[in-house]
Amino acid sequence: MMSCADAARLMSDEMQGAVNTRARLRLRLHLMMCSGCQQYRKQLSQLRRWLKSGQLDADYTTQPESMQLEESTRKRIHDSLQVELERTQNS
Amino acid sequence: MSTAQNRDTQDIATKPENWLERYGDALYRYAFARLRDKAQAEDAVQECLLAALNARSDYRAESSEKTWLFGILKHKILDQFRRNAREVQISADDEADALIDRSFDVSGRWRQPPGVWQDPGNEVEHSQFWAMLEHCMDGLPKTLSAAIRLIEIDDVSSEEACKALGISATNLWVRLHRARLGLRGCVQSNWFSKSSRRSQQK
Repeated sequence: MMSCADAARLMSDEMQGAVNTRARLRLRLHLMMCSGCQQYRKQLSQLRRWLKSGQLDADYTTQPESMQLEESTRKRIHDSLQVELERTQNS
Repeated sequence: MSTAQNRDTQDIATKPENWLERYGDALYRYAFARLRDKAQAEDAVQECLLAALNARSDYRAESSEKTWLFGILKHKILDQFRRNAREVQISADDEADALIDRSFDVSGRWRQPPGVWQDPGNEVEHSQFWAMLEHCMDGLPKTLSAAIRLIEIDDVSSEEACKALGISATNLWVRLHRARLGLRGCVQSNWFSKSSRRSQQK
């Protein structure tokens, strides 16, 4: 019989649509008899829902607000933009 | 003020001079979350703004300036992924990866079978929950978090993700599987196992 480790891999592949019919049947058989894997499957879809909810992808991202460009970096970027801006305006 | 007549580049609402001040830090945080490397994140911001500068005549008011800039940044980040994939990566991640393997015993059974997860509840708990989840994403080996971010958060297609990471489809499935396993273990121990409030017995 299929092991939980194999089943877990298949359940992940399934989320990408990368499981053939035969494997899907064997997985279904395993799931009927394994409550741990049943829960894992539910958890996978919960994880997907949470990751896709947009909460982790807000524009400011989830890095702390205190994380900022250093002054020297800011200046470097500013200067390169300035050069480019002048170049494009003169051309 | 006339808007329609004078639509040369000077009159477009986007003012490149203000981008860095207004969006620089947000762009940087976004890039850092994905690249996990200060210098690479800084470069991505710079490349993004330079590209935006040269493409500003393409900007249409259909999306906000901010959304537009983040769209460009995403591409710059993918470019960086591609460059990283070309370098041989000595994996300090192997150790963390091995930990994920230990979800199962030698015969492939769960060491600790997954249980029921309740969705996060009230507002306060809610923000803690997202912080925890981000922490767990950050804790994954870099190769794994890059894969799952692309697929689940950035909604990139499998083909694009393979190209960006320089790996085969099979390799991508493996990484996603390990990322999910790792993420599950982290969420379990940092949230659901932590407090009796969150347990199903409540």
